[in-house]
Order: sequence, then C-alpha cells, then structure tokens
Amino acid sequence: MALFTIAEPGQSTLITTPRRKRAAGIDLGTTNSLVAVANAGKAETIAGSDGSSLLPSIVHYRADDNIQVGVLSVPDESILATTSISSVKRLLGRGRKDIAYQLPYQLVDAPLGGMSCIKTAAGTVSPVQVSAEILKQLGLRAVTALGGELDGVVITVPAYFDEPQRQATRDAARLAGLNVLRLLSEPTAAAVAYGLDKRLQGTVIIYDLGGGTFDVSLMKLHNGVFEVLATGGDSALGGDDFDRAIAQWLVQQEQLKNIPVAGDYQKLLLQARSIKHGLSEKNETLACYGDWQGILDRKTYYQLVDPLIEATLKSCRRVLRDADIQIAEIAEVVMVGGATRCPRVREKVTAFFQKELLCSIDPDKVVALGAALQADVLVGNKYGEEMLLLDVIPLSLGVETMGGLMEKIIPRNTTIPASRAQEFTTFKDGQTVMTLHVLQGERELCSDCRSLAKFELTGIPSMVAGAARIRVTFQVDADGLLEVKAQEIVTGVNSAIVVKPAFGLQENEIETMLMTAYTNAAADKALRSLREKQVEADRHIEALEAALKADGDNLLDSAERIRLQQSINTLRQAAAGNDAGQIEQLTLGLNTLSVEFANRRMDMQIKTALAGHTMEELDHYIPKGVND
Amino acid sequence: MNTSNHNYFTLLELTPECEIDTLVLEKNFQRLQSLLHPDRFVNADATRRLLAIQQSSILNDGYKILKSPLHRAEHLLQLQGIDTSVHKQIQLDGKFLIAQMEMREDLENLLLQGNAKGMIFMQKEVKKEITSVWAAFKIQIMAATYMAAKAQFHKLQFLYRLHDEIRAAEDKLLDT
Repeated sequence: MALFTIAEPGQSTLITTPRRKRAAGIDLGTTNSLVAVANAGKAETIAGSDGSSLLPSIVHYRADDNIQVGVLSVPDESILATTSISSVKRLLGRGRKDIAYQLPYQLVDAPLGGMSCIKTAAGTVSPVQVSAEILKQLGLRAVTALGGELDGVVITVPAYFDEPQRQATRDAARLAGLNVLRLLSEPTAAAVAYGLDKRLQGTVIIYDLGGGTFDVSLMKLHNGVFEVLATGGDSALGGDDFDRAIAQWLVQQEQLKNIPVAGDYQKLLLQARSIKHGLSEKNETLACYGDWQGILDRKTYYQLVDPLIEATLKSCRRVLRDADIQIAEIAEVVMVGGATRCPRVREKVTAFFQKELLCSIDPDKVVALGAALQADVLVGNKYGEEMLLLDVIPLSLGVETMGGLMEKIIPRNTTIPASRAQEFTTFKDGQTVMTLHVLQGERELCSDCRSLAKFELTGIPSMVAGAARIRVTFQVDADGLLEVKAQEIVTGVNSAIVVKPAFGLQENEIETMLMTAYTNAAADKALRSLREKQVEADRHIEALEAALKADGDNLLDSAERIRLQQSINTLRQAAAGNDAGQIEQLTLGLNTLSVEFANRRMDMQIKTALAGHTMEELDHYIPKGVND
Repeated sequence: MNTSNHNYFTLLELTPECEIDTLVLEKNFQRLQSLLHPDRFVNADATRRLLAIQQSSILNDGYKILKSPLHRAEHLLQLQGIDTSVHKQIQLDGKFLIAQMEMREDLENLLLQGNAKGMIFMQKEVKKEITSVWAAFKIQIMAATYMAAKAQFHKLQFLYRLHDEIRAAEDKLLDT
C-alpha cells in the first residue's frame, strides 16, 4: 500500500504508521456464541455464512473424525455415528459430581475426581477441546472480517465462574490459538456496552440469565469508571433448566418411567425449547411426546419455572445486602442473555425491583459487543475514551485449617487485582514440608467448598516447631485467577511450590492436546492463509485501479497501461480461486510491474508540492525517515 | 487487616485524619488506578505486568481501608506505631464488655423468636453507640493520646462486629 501513498513534504512514504491492531470480543455462551469487533467506541457482531451472528454452541463429533461446529442438528442418517455436544460450558472446570442432571451425552470420570471428559463417536474429548473448536470458528470469523491475524481477544466468562472454570476457559483459548488479553465478566461487558453506547450512569443492576449460567452484578457507572460493588449468581442455572423442566413434565404426561437416552433426549430438549419459546408468544401451546399429545398452558409452565426464577431473585437479594444498597437506590435494571426474553422472568424481575427494565441492546449480543469494546482498548488502539473496569472476585478464597474448617483469606466481592499475605508455621520440630489446601466458597466446612489445589511447600529450613514463619501470598489478577507464593521469613528462603490443581489440565495434557490440534490446524491454517492472500490481492488491485484512474492517462503510455491492466485481470481471476501460492506470486508480480508507475507518481507529486516554495524553504526541508 | 507498612493516606494523597472527604478519596483512587491498572499493561513484558498487579492490589487495599471508618481508625493508630492486634489489647471498660455480652444474648433470643422488628431496633441502638464512641475516638486522636484512642478503637471493633452479627441474623430470617 505504501507504494501508492503520496505524502506531503515533512511526511514520508517510508514512515511506517503503526498498523491498527486487530482485536475481537468473544462471548462463549452456553447456548450460542458470538464474536464482535470494535472501532473507536462502536462495536458490531460478525455474522457467519448463514447471516446470523449467533453460532450455536454445539459441536458434533463424527466417527470418521469429522468435527462440525454450529449446526443445530445433523441429518438423521448420521445420528448414530455422531455425538452432539451442546452446552459444554456447563462442563468446563467441573467434575462428575457437579452435574446433577441428565445429559444427552455420556461423561467419563476423570482420574482423581478432576474435570469430566466426554465420550464421543470419535473418542474421548475434554470440555476444553470442545470449547476450543467453537473458539476457533469465532476466531476465523474475526480474521476474515478484519483481514488478518488477531493481535488479541477478550473472552467473557460468567462473573460467578470460579477458578477452575476460568482456567479451563483460558486453556480452551490457548488451544484455539488465541491470545487472551483479558477474561471479562459477562455483566461487566454488558455494562461497558450500555455505558459507551447508551451513556448509562449511576447505580445499576445487571441481570444476566443465559442458557446455563446466571449472574447478577450491582455496579456503579460514572464517567467511564465501571465499578462492581457486589456480584452473585449461580453458574449452573439458566434457560437450559427451563427446557429441562418442560422436558420432565412432558415425560411425566406420557407416564414413561425412563427418560430417553442420547439422540432422543437431545430431540426432546429441543422440542421443550421450542415449546418454551411458543409460550412467550401465546397463552398455551400444543405439546406432544411419544404417543401423548396435549396442551401446556402458561399457568402450568409458570409453576414449573417459578422456583428457578425465585432462585435468581434470592441472589439479587444477597447482592443488595452485600453492597448495602436499597432497591430504591437502583437507577436501572439491565437485562442480559437470551433467557431474559421470557415474559415471566421480566414480570418477576420488574416486580422485584419495582421499575421498568432496560433491554434496548439485543440481550443476545450485548456481552460480545462490550467485550469487543474492551478488546479494542486493551490491544492498544486508542481513541480517547478512558475506561476503567474495576471487577471483583465472586467467591471467597481461603485455606483449610484445623478441623476441616475453611478460613477465608480473600473475601468475596474484594476488588481485583487483590493480594493478601498470611503467615503459617510448622507444628513439628524439623518439619521441612507443609501442605496448604486452597479452597473457594462461602461455607464453613471445607467439604462444602470447592477444592482448588493442594500446594506442597518444600525446602522449609529445619527448625524448632513454631519457629518458622512462612509467609504465603495469595494474589488474584485482573482475570480473577489465583497465584500463590511462599517465603520463609526467618531465613528468606523461597519455598518451592508444587501445585496440584484439582480440576485443571496438567501442563503435559495441554501439550498433547496442542499436538493433536496442530495436525487438525494444518487444514485450518491453509484456509486462513488463502483468505489472507485473497484480501491482500483485492487491496492491491483496488489501490492500483484508483491510481490508474487518477494518473494513468498522463503518466503511462498505452502499452504500459495495457500490461498493467492485464496483470490486474489475471490476479483478479486467481483471487477468485483456491490456489494461495498462485495468488501470492501474481500479487508480487503486479507489485513489481507497478513500481515504475509509482515512482512517476511520486516525482509528479513532489514537483507539484515544491512549486511555489523558495530555495531557502527547500534548504530546510528534511524528508523524514528516508535515511534511517 | 493491613499487614504491610504502607501509608495509605500518602498513597491516596489525603491528609491523615479521622474524617475524610469520600468524594476526593474516590476521585484520587480512580485517577491513580487508571494509571496503574493491569489493563494498561496488557502488552508489556511479564515483569511489568506483575508490577501492575501488585501496585493495583495495594491501591485497592488502601481505598477499601480508607473508605471504612473502622479500618481508617485502625490505620491511623498503626501509623503511630500502635499495635492494634487483639491479643495486645489493654483492659477494656468492664461495664462495656458486660453490655456487649448481654446484647449478644438478646440477639440469640431475637433470632429464636424470629423477631425481625426487634433486630431493627437493636441495630439502631448499636449505630447510636458507634456514633458516640467514634466521637470519643476523634477527641483522643486530636489530643494525640493514642493509647486512650486505642481503647476507643477496640470498643468500635466490638460494636461493628455486633452490627455484622445482627445483619447475619436478619439474613437468616430472610432466607427461611
């Protein structure tokens, strides 16, 4: 492009202007995922080839190793040879015991009670790998839209996601080859979108009910500062549970004792979902299951889902108390997430907060838009609006103490980044090793909290019992991720720490997954490379044609002009094809062919610019960058 | 709570006093956080990013401590070299301690009875007590009689703890 840019004296075509960085915001949702990009405070979601911004978070694994992302269902004949994995977000960082409901696919117990894997027609996969497939698709959308590799992404997570869930999300991004700038809380992302687009200010509630997770955040928005005062929720409560309630009711009507398995259950859930959507429009809807057929009316439906909605209101109550804010002080209640379209949810939330709800930005898209806005800023594209996001840790972090009790070290709703130091000592003479069990949660007993990791501190200098002073520092970064360091104060020795994460992937597991991903990625990469070459060729053609229109007639003779035009045509044809190598070669060829034309244009421009300046002025004219 | 040697008043550019202007505190905090926050250093090297996390954490701590009257009081004493940890506390007013024990017994009864109204009333009484003890604390600080101020501070600790316990009891009633 520089070849065709003519600058004023004082500037130089040889100065490389810093390229605008390419960043995107990704909403990795339970039901649907989205990717968006932003520029100077304006964000837009990117649609796929079907024209929709929503990519269903479903990954189909086929026995022939074919992986398909985003289609709702596969053709009937493929069903037996396919495992369709939906709502994988619910499995990130979770063990077998955490899943209290039936799934349309089979889980495999992980060793040591770690993160469950899924049995598929193509072998066992980790929820991290499944999520990575979705992220790859979204990344590809962004690369195509922005015309090149991404410099970074912001990925959103539910505010109520704990440590293992966040780590798993980060691992999935790494597997997908994405550079994560920040893990951003979904409610905070929504607040950013409303703050920048709708100038939302004041003390607000963000009520975010997605497919599988619920968050409620109480925030203060003021002059570009987005401060979370308190957050609450349930990372296992969402629109999916409404579907399950309907599905259960259907099965009961049919008086079947056993709930169907696999593919049939998936179909049942999809049917339940469409019934749910139907009841948003009408007072009653036709429902059928197996041999049974009947009517599901709103009154019965409400009986089924009211307990779920009440659970969300309980979190709302808690969050108001944590922040010591009264309902009357709330300026706005913002609805986020597809499930907030449910009229009953709106009715109940309106009644609870006693005010009209704010949903002017599409509740399905608002999180991705906010993430894109932050990504644009974080990656380094400045445009003037200073934004400060102050988020909090949603659940208390602590350690196990005598008697299996949980002692809190960093309480919930502490603003992050946060750092706390605690001193521990030895209880036996000559003790050189100490185990620290780190947990997350609000309950008194360790068994009721989530075990994060067991840290083994070794290399403690041998001393009398109680003489050693081991200072353990707990540090939570801006992504909400924990790091633990330890130092023995008396001798100044840094104790080595071996982290045994309860749910995370071990480093070698990630390595293996990355290896597998590389082999599959070859195909991905080729496609991406082709796209890039096509975009580059288009750019060159566009610029050259513009230059020809402006100066082709006065600077080129007809033979030269025809040669250039032919070269353009050949390149244009190649760019419509699939041969990346050929496109690249022809682009280079076109470049070389047009150098002479560019030189003549530059000479002409300089002559025009210099005309009218005195010799003295020209003496002081120093073209910048030319001799660097 | 503060196990470090930072002077949070200096950090947040405020004069060390019992009463502070919370609007100024907030403005200073946001201005400083804008400069130090890890979001500003996403593309920097690992060392710089770690420094941002550490500095930002300290700033968050300082803001939280100065915002809370109880923690601000404690910080003022710590800056004078007074040890505010419980096991070194001086003999507290006997009458005060007995009154505290009685209130806690009353609270247990209120909880058993499910008496939310009684709890609201008790909370009002506690808040009144806090106001008067706070006034006494201020006088001691201004007179630079720090051991006497320390005594008032420990009373405040008791009262705020009772305030939290009443809160928790109210929560329990709400959840049932």
